[in-house]
Amino acid sequence: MQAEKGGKLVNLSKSDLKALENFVSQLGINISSIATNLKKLEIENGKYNDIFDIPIQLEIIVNSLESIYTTGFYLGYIKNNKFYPGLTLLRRISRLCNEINCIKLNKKGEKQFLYGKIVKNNIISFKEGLRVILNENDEPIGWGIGKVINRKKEIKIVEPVKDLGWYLRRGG
Amino acid sequence: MGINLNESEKENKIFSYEISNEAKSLAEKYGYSDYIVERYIKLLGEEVIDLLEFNEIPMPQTIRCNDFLVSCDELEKRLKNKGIKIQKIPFLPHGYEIIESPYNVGATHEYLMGYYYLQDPGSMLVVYLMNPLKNSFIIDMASAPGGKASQILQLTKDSVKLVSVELKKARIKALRSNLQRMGFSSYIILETDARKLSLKNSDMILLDSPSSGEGIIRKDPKRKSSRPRSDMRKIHLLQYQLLNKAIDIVKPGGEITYAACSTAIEEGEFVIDRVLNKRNVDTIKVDSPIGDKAYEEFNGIVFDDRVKNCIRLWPHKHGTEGFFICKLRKEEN
Repeated sequence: MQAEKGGKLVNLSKSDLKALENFVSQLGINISSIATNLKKLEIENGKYNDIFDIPIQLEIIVNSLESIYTTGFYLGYIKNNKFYPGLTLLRRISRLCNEINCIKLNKKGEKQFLYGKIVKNNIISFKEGLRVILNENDEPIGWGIGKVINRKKEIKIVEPVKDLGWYLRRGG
Repeated sequence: MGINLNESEKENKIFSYEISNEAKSLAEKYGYSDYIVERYIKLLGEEVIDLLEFNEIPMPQTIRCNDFLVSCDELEKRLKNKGIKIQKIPFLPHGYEIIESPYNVGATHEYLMGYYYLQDPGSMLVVYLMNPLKNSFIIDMASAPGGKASQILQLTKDSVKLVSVELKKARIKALRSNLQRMGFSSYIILETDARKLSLKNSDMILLDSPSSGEGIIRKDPKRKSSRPRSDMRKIHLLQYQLLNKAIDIVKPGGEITYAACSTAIEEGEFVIDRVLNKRNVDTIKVDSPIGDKAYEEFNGIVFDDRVKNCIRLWPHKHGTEGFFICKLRKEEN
């Protein structure tokens, strides 16, 4: 979820940066791999903060505005010191899938995943934890959690966290 | 021939023309408000039947390939493999008509990945005619749901400084979602009334004005009669105010593209005529692959002759929505 009202862009606090670091370290990457000009949208009485990477050419205009709804490259949001990645971040991180571990699904798995269902048996490559989920063409289709539910029988599943179907279900 | 009239006499002739029996009878037959049909008769003469008949044919779905994320050849292949039959639209570099589809084209995986946008042809044409310049500062004054905003970002390879303005809460979420889905980042969305903008000196402005929607009757037949005649003055006033604001905030020498998805003179030629008479702007000839010259006269009113540089799209002639498109340049100080 993102902010519903306008706000002002400010720098990230130490605890915000820590939350973001905790997230990227799970994936085995650095913050600099995903953003160079981090800002958060501060909203009066907001319950969370949207986090953006602001293209340098927008800076002067953004700083001149009293209140903005959204801007730049949306990374995700921070709530209670935890970072929750957005769908747009998938594209940036999926470029690194050769170096980090992403989960890859076959066509049937892709369909299940995009319907927001747990995927079993249709997994081409697997890694435990929060991961970028790719389809057979190496295109990112969402965030999911790889889990081994039976180590003896090696039964693995992928639980959807946020998939591209969100654009239809909640995107507006 | 036109005659010299004062502003209020001119307005009366534009907004309160008499309705003929022919218009009343055709309006009843096709289910329209009679003032719309009377206007069609005044503008099109005998062609009015062609338009009324054509408006009975539902509008096909059309898409814009997003070559910022995928090549159009690749998208063509992928849609074909899914059994979706598409056909290139000759006058739109990224436009395709959906001929046949076993699926809802607004819910395919390719759609979710941002590889295309569902957009009507006239709407696409507006942005090609605008010709947004790379690295420029652009304001899109009535932006949701983001078809034209995403097209501006696509054509400029996400290089512009785009400020997208939308007042309606219900529509702004779709604007954000569409720009994100299609992979863009060089934009700022403002939730505000564009008439209150404090920005200045933009290089280009797109004002795809809120309108009566008379241009999309093929898509939404309710538009035949959903607006009482009295609304036309209110819509015209809003359009005039927005265009005046656009002139205020564009830099001297900067360009404004004004569009209205409507066949109404009140929303097209008359808006431009009024700003040409009062503001320091000129029209730029719209060099379009399709379209008719805008009207220079209506019901005895002769418009500023520079209005002829603007264009009109008609459903029955051009196969698009009904549209009025005009380009203006603010004079250097």
